Formats: sequence, structure tokens, C-alpha cells
Amino acid sequence: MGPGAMYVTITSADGHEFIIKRKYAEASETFEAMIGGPSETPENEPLRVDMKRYQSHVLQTVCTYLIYKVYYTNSTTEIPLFPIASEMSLELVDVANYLNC
Amino acid sequence: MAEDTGIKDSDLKSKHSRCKSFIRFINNTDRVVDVIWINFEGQHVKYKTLPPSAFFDCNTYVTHPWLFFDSETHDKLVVKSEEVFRPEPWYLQYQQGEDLPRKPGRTLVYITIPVYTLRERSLQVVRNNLSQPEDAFKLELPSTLQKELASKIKETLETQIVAN
Repeated sequence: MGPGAMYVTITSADGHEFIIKRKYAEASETFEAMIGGPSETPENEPLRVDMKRYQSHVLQTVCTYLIYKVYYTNSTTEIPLFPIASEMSLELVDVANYLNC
Repeated sequence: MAEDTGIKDSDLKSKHSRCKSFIRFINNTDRVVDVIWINFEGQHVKYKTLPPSAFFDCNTYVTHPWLFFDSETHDKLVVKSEEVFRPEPWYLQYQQGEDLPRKPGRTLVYITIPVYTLRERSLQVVRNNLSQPEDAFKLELPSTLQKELASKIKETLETQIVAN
């Protein structure tokens, strides 16, 4: 819990929460900066990141991408193309630009 | 036959042709791939276009850099996660002290897609749905992203013109 937490909770605009392992969140430079710096989070509280600019369907894809990135970076297995639906692509450009991932 | 694309890259160029390297380039993607050799002037020379799963054998040299692009979209492709392939001496694949064969084997070089950033991947999808560079400026995106997107569309169109 707190700064040494293994998990990070990401909150969306429509009230959904995504709980992912810290190592996946840190695949985004912005998330890494948010959770890596000095934290006012009490020791017994999970790490939380406020992403209330973005809807849950966008953040769900972001979380999936972060896991894909960690899994396939420096992997010797064949890398599949990360699938993105056309109708979501503009929102993903925006959030990916913000998260630097 | 090699085609001069006329594009220069001042950071990379072939330096000399002293040590041979025997390569088999294998397209391990489902895309058509342009295999680009960078010549002694740093110009990109389209050496071969490979259909999906195809290969070609190439006698090249240490210090000769190679790049790989999707033939249609100009998206970058990689070998072992690196954008630039730099051939190694042909004899490195053999153990020290081992007799060198009269006919050396070829090093297999697999061209694959990289782990694109989410930013790059989503820009690719947006680009695939637009037809003209000016369409990028109609989207609700920061101006830097609009310019980047317009540039990608222009690059794709230019690649298609050269191919035709």
C-alpha cells in the first residue's frame, strides 16, 4: 500500500476503476512520474491515479496496451499488431500523447 | 533492381566493403516490405520488395546499414527490435578454432513489426481512415498531432506514387 504499492488504481470519467500492477502502469512515462514521485498517499491506502478526463472504454484499452507493451518488449516471440478499433483511435491518440506510451 | 528513393539520412551510410556478410532477409510479417540499403552517400536505396513470408538472399558487407518499411504505409519495421540492421562478419557464426567451411551458411534475418507505441499505433489507425493530408487538420487534435498525422498521410501517398 502507499508509495511501495504493487497495484495502482486508475479512475475514469464515468466512475470505473482499473486496478493494474504497478510494473504495467510504469510502462507509461506519465504514470511512472505520477506514482514514482513523493506521495501523500497514506501507507495503508492503494496508489490512485486520476484519469477523469477519459472514459472507461479508452482506459480499458490503455491498460490492455500497457500489459502488451511490457509482455512483448524484448520478447523473442512473434509480436502481434496491437488491435485498435477505428472509432476509438482519435481518443487513443489523445490519451497516448498525454501518457507518453 | 535497386531504386534510388532520393531520401538522405546523414547519420547512416555504408562506409566500406572489406568484410563480407551473407544474409537471408525473411519477411516475418503479413505486410509487403521494402528492404532499403543505405549507400555510401547516405541515400536510401530500395533494394527489394518482399511479399509476406517471402525471403531473398543477399551478399552484403559489414558497415552497410539496412532499413525496413511497410511498402504501402511506410511504417517502420525492425530486426530484433532494432530499426537499423548492421551485418556482422560471415565467420562470426562459427566457433573459434573451428574450420571455416568453403561455402558459408547464410545468417537468417527476420523482419518483424516492432512494439509500436500506443501513440504511433493509434496514429496509424487514424491515418488509414484519411485520404488527404489536409484531412488531419479537420480533426479535434492538438496542432502538433495534426501536423504529424498530415506528414504521415503525405508519406504514405508519396510511397504509393513511387510504387506506381
